[in-house]
Order: sequence, then structure tokens, then C-alpha cells
Amino acid sequence: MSNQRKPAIFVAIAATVVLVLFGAAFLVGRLEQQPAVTKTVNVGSAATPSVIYAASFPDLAGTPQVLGQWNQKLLILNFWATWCAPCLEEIPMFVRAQEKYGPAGLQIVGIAADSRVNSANFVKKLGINYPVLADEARAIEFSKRVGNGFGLLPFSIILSPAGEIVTTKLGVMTEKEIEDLVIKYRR
Amino acid sequence: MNNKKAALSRHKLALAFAALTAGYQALADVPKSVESGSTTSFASIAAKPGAELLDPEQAFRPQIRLHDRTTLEVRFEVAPGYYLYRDRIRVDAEQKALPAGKNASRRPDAGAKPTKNRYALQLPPGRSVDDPTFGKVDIFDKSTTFTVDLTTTSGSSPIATGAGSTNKSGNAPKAGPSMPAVPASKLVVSSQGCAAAGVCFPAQRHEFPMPAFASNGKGSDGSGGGWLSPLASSSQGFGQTTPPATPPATSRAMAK
Repeated sequence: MSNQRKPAIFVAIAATVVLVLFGAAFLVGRLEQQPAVTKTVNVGSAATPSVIYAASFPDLAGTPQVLGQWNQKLLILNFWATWCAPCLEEIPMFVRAQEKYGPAGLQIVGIAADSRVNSANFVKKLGINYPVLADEARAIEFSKRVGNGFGLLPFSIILSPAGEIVTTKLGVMTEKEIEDLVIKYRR
Repeated sequence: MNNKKAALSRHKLALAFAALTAGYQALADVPKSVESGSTTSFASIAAKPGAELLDPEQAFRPQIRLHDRTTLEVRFEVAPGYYLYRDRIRVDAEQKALPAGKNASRRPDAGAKPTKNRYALQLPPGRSVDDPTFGKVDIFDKSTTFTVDLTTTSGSSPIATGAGSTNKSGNAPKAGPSMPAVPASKLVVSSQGCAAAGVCFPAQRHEFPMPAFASNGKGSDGSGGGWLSPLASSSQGFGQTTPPATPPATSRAMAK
């Protein structure tokens, strides 16, 4: 190999190494930006289906609604509040999911830790197409009883059509998670 | 000649490396420090990757101190990856209700609600977030200090703070001069915030002893008006009071 070609080979090797390093650093950078909180694993001792189905919260007109009325559904009880930015971020996805999977037995119910007036404003603003109940004083307390130990929002608890607690989720749910639930529990 | 070519190649290599580095910075969207008052999105607040969620008492640490006889300073230390809503910060002086009526001696706490006076705050602008769903909101995602005018309150009765409570605002207090000022028993700082990882805490209530100046002009704690930590912090409305120095971060195993 001539001496004239050595620098070119050196440049090619060095450029390859730099590209590999760049790619690795980029991937690590993207991974690090994934949300750290996705789900809670400590379901509260009071998180029994009977406790959940027996509970009632007022709807936006103030009429008490018993959660047990949805006991034949794949039920996602989503605790949220209008002051909670991540909660509002996931609601458009819930709206799409309710429209898409409602016929397959999915029922999302929002339980707002907020006033009825505030909740009603956001129901209108976000075009929420599933029932929303609101109880500023009791919603977070109840979510703590059923597994949300620290009262953080958003928090969702999912019950199967057979009346079993499937899982809980602290943080924003994804459309894929809902799709997987529907595939597993569709009626 | 060969030396010249080699030098040229090294120069090209350096240029290529610089271009790649710049490209990485742009593509990776590395969070940059943003000055107060600028508009950004929630997504730009860097979440601590893989970190366990802190207790709210550790994510948002309030402290208070008297700046002078009529001005209180409040400092919030905000942990990286967390933010406070600017418009949900409150500072109240609370006075336990005095028993009244002839049955008071038997049931001193019956129906007694604490009297609350809300102070006017001089909050810095914070960081403006314009979220497509949430709308525009100001947050503090870094530690911040603000002042409280102890002479300006709005509430149900005047409260003596040790600073000499004399209302000078147009919207407060409702009580007239016939109502004697009563000593405030505690000062309550309320706040609400979230973790950039995508969850929000319920409103937090932090209780402090009511600071007062001693006759020598120093803080009543004898420390010359040093920073005071809360006596207790709790989630509002749930009656769950925890001591402020409860370390460490609760094990909130939040796995994927």
C-alpha cells in the first residue's frame, strides 16, 4: 500500500468510529428522555372490585352515579384534574379510544378531583365523549384507597368485564396499552 | 507533498467531527437553560431518567424568613425535573378560632373553623409554558424566592403577625376597627406542582410558626431572621400530616 493512500484510510476509519459514537450517543440521549414514571405496582388493600363498584360520585349535574353500573365493561377509571397538565394530555387519546373501542366493550369513566364547573368546562373544551364524574374532596382520597398511595394524578385503575382488577397505571396511558387491553378483554 | 495531504485530511476530519457534534446537539434536543419569562413547553422540562419519584416535601422545599418588620421572604427549592404552578402558590396566616358562646367551655372546638387571612404575594414571572391542551401557564422549574407583604391581607379578620398587621390594600380586610387583632398562630404556605415525568401532586400545605421580630430587631428564633423550615407538610384536605424531615424518598417502585 502506498504512503499516499494511508491518510485516506485513516480518515475513513476515524469517520466510521465517530459515526458509530454519534449514533450511540444519540440513541442514549433519546432513551433518557423517555418518561420515568409509567405505572405503580402497589395496589391498595382496599382495592377490591366490590369496593370500587359500590362507590359513587356525582356527575356534572350533581346526580350520584354508582360505578357498578359499568361492571359488565372493560372499565378504565381515570382520576384526573383540570390543573394537572399530564392528565389533560392523555384525555384526547381517551376520547379516540372510547370512540374506537366502545363497541368492543371499553368504557372509560373520568373521575375529576376538581369542581363540577371546572370539569364541565374541560369536558366541553376537550370534547370528552365518556362519562365524567367530579368530586373535588373525595376523588383523590378514593384513588388512594384503591392503589394510588400518594394521590398522584393522572391515575387509572382498570377492571375487566368479569369484574377483576386488571392493573393500575400511574401517569399517562398509551393508546397501545388500551389496544392491548381491548384485544385481551373484548366481548 | 505527503505531509500537506495528511494535514489536509486531518483538517477535513476535524471539520467532519465538528459537524457531527453540532448535528447531535440539534437532533438530541438537549435541554437548554431557559431564562425566566420565556415561553416553552412542558416537554422541555427534563425528567430525571429512571429516578424514583420524590416525596412532594422533597421535590418542593419551602422555607421562610422575615426580611424586615413588614416583609416576609419565601424560598422554594425545586428539585430538578419538577415544577410548581405559579398561580397556585398561597401564603395565609391562620388563627385557631376562639371558642364562643356559653357552650364553648364544654365543646371548645365545636364548629370552630380557623380564621384565615391571605397575603398579597410579589411573585417573580417564572417560566411561561404554552401547552396546546393545557393552555398558557407560568411555572417555577427552578428554585425561587419571593416576598410577601405582611401588611396586605384579604380575609375574615385582622391578624397580628408580630410585624404589626395594618391593611393597606383596597380589597381587604373585611373586619372593621371594632374587631381586635388576634395573634396569628401559624403561617401556611400552599403550593401545587408536578413531576416532568408526567404526574402531578395534590396541593401541598406547609405549616410554619408565625415569625415575629423580637424587640432587638432580630428574628424571634434568635437566629437573626434565618430561614425556617415547615413544622409540618401535608396533602391538602386529606388530613395526612407528615413531619417535614421525613427522609428518604418513599420507595415508589414505578416500573414499566
